[in-house]
Amino acid sequence: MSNEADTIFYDVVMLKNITTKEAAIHSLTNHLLEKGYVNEHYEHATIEREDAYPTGLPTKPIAIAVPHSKHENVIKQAVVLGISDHLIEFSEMGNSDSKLNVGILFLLALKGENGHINYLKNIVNYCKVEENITKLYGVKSAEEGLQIFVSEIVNAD
Amino acid sequence: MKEKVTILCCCGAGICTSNYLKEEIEDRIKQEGLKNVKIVLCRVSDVDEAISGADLLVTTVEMKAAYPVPMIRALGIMLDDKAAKKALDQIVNEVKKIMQE
Repeated sequence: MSNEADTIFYDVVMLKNITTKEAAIHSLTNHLLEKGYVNEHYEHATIEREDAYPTGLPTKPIAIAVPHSKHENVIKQAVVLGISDHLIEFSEMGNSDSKLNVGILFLLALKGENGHINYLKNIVNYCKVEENITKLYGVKSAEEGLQIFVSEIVNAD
Repeated sequence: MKEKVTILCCCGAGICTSNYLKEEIEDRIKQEGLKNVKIVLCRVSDVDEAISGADLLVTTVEMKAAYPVPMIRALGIMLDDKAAKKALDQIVNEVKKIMQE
């Protein structure tokens, strides 16, 4: 693991009783806002972007979404994994008419290219495997989720 | 003959899916032994400006305007291996075509 990767903050939030994408993005961005990783515009910018360019991906057995927005609102880089007890409707990336039921979210608060760690690629490669989604969605606590997130997704290479 | 081909990769924020495409395309271009292919990233709102230097537009999002260069929707690169291969084949073919022009 490089020093560069060390500077990225990873966390997991267990989303309870959340039923809309706006509420889910609010909950995850608020977590970062409180810790000083994003500014107060990040939430609105990310929701706006999600409406214009949706980020849902049709993974199986449940879909994921990777909401993010422009780097201007990121203070320090972070990637937050949200695991939701309710399935939340997101539109599919590249095809706004297709709706997906998302249970796992990765909020990417990044500033740009990240050297040799391509977060999105690591996330997508992990989530392409059905057993991985089942395992990740089945975690009982944020700690358990973080363990998988850091060891199996971020540092997969 | 065109010596150098510039591919413009564009997505909503210009940092995530476009970066993903860039790496996958670079790997494939290397495998094919193609030289002098440059890949530039941009966000969708900046395409109008960035397109002037590009020979091929590769995107993960729905484009609202038409551009004077060939365009490939390459979201498949992020989905399954079959869709990824199809999209990358399409990109490589287009690059070869542009090089022959």
